[in-house]
Amino acid sequence: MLSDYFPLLIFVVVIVGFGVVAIVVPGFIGGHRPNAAADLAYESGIVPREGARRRFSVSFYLTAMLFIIFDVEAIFIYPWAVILKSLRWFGVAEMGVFVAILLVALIYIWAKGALEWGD
Amino acid sequence: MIDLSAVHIDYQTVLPELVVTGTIVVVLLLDLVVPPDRRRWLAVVSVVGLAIALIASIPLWGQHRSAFADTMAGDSFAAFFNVLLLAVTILTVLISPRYLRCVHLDFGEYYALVLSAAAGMMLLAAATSLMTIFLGIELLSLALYVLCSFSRLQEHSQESGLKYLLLGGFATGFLLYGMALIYGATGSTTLLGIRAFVTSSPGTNVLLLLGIGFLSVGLAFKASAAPFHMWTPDVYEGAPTIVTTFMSVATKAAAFAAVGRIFVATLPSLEAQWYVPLALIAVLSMSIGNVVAITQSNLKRLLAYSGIAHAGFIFLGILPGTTDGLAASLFYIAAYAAMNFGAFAVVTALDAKGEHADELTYWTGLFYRRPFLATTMTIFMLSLAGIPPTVGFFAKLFVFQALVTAHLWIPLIVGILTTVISLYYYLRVIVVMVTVPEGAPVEREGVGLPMTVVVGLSALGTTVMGLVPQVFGWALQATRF
Repeated sequence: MLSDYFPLLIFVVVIVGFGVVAIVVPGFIGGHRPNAAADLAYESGIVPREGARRRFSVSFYLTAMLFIIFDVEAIFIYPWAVILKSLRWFGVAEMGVFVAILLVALIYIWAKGALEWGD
Repeated sequence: MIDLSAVHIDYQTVLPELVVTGTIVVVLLLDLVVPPDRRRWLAVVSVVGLAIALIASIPLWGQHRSAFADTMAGDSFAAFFNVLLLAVTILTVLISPRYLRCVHLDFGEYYALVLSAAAGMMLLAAATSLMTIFLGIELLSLALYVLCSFSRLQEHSQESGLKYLLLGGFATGFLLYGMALIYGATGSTTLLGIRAFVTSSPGTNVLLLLGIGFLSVGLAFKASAAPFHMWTPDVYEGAPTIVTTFMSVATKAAAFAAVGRIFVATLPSLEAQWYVPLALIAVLSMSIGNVVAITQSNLKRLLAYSGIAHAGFIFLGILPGTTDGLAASLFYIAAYAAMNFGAFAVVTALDAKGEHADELTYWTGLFYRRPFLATTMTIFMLSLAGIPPTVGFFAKLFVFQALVTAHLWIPLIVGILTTVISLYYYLRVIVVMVTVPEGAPVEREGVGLPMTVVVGLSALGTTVMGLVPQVFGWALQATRF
C-alpha cells in the first residue's frame, strides 16, 4: 500500500531539489552588479509606480466573488457534459436544479446592487 | 452507459435536507421583495419550512436506508438528530425577529444563513462518507462564520467572526488531512467501506491511526472540546447573543453526530487504540471547562466554558465504544440542548434590552425585576449543574452508568469530581439573581410572547425530559444502526 506513494515521494524530492538548486546555484555562478533598478520589485518588466498596499474598491471583491460563482458552475458542467449522453434526461434535470440555484445567487446579488459600479 | 441504479438515488433519505435547502432559496428571494418593516414574515416562512422538514424526518425513524452510493443514511440516528436540530433551529428563529429589531440587525440574510447552518448540520448527522461529512461541516461553518460577525459595526462581533474563521480554517485543514490519510490507508471514503477494511485486516495500521487522530482534532474543534477549545469563549462572547444561543447547542450536537457515526458505528474494533486520546479529550474538557468557568464574570463566557465541560461529558458516553454508551451520549445531547438553549435564550432576552446584560453584575436582583426569566434561569442552572430531578441529573447518571458498565474508572472519577466543582459557579449565578439590588428598583418590562413561549418550553423540557423514560428509549433506538 505504502509503495503506491513512491512516485509522490519522487515528486516531493524533485520539487524541493529544484527550489534549492534554483536559489543556491545562481549565487555561485551568476554575476553580481547591485544597482537601484535591480532592487525594484519585478512586475513583468514594467517599472512599478507605487506601493501595492493600497485600498481597493469593494467592487473588486464583488467581481471576484461573482467570478467564483460562475467558475464553480463551469467546473461542474464540464464533467457533466462529457457523460450527459448516458445520464439522459435525469442528468439534464439535475443540472437544471444546480444551475437554477446558482441563478438565484445571481438574481440576489443583482437585486442587491452588486453589479452597479456607482460613479 | 452509466448504471445509475448502483448509485441508489433515494430522495426520501435526504428529503428533510432538501426541504430546508428549498426554504433557503425561498427566503433569499423573498428578502428581495419584502419591505423592511415586514421582515418577520421571513421568520414565519423559515419556521414553516423547518416544520415541514421536521415532519419529513419522522418517517426515517426505524429505517435503514443507505443512499447515493452509501454517502447518506436515512436511519433512526439521522431522524433523532434531524428532529433535535430542527427543533433548536425553529426555537431560534422564533425568538429572532424581536431580538434582531432591538439590536438593529434586522436583515433578511440572517434567516437564510441560519437555515444554511441548519442544513449543514442535518447533512452532517446523516453523512456516512468522509466527503459528505466534510460537506456538512463546511456548510455549517461557512454560515456560522458570517453569523458570528453579523453585527457589522461592532468590533467585538468582527473579532469573533474572524477568530472563528481563521481557527476554523486551520481545524478544517487537520480534518481534511485526516480524511486523506484514512482514504490512503483504507482505499475507501465511505464509512461502510472503512468499516469493512478495518474488520477484514486487523493489526496496527499507522497511516489509519494517524488519519483518525487528525480527523478527531477537526471534530473536537467543532464540538469545542479541550484542548481545541481556545476559540470558544471569545467567539461566543463577541457573536450576537442569538447566534451564540443557536451555535452553542446545534453545532455541538451535529459534531457529536459525526463522532458517533465514526467512532462507535464505524471503528468500534479499534476502541483499544482510540480510547486513550478520546479519554484525554474528555478529561481535559471537563477539567478545563469546569475550573476556568469559576473565574468568569461574563455570563456568555461562563456558559462557553460550561459548554466545553459538557462536551467532555458527552465524550464520556463515546468512550466505551458501544451503542449503549452512545445512547447515553445522545440523551446527554438532547438534555444539553434543552437546558443550554434555555440558559442562552434568557441571556438573549436580557441582551435585547440592556447594554452589558451579559456581565454578571447586571443580573443582581433579577428575581425582583424579571421573576419569570430568573425562575427559568434557576431551573437551567440547576439542570446544568446536574441536580435531580432535572434532566441534567439523568443525563450525567446515564453517562456515568455507561462508564461503570465498561469499567472505565479514571474518566468516571474525573467526571464526578468536576461535577462537584461546577456546582459552585452554577449556584453563584442563582445567588447573584436573588441578591437584593441597591438603589431604586428598575421597572419591569415584557420580553414578548415568542420569547416567553420558547423559554417556557425549554424549562418544561428541562424539568420533565428526565422523568419520561421514553426519551432514553428513543436514544437507544436511534443508536441501532
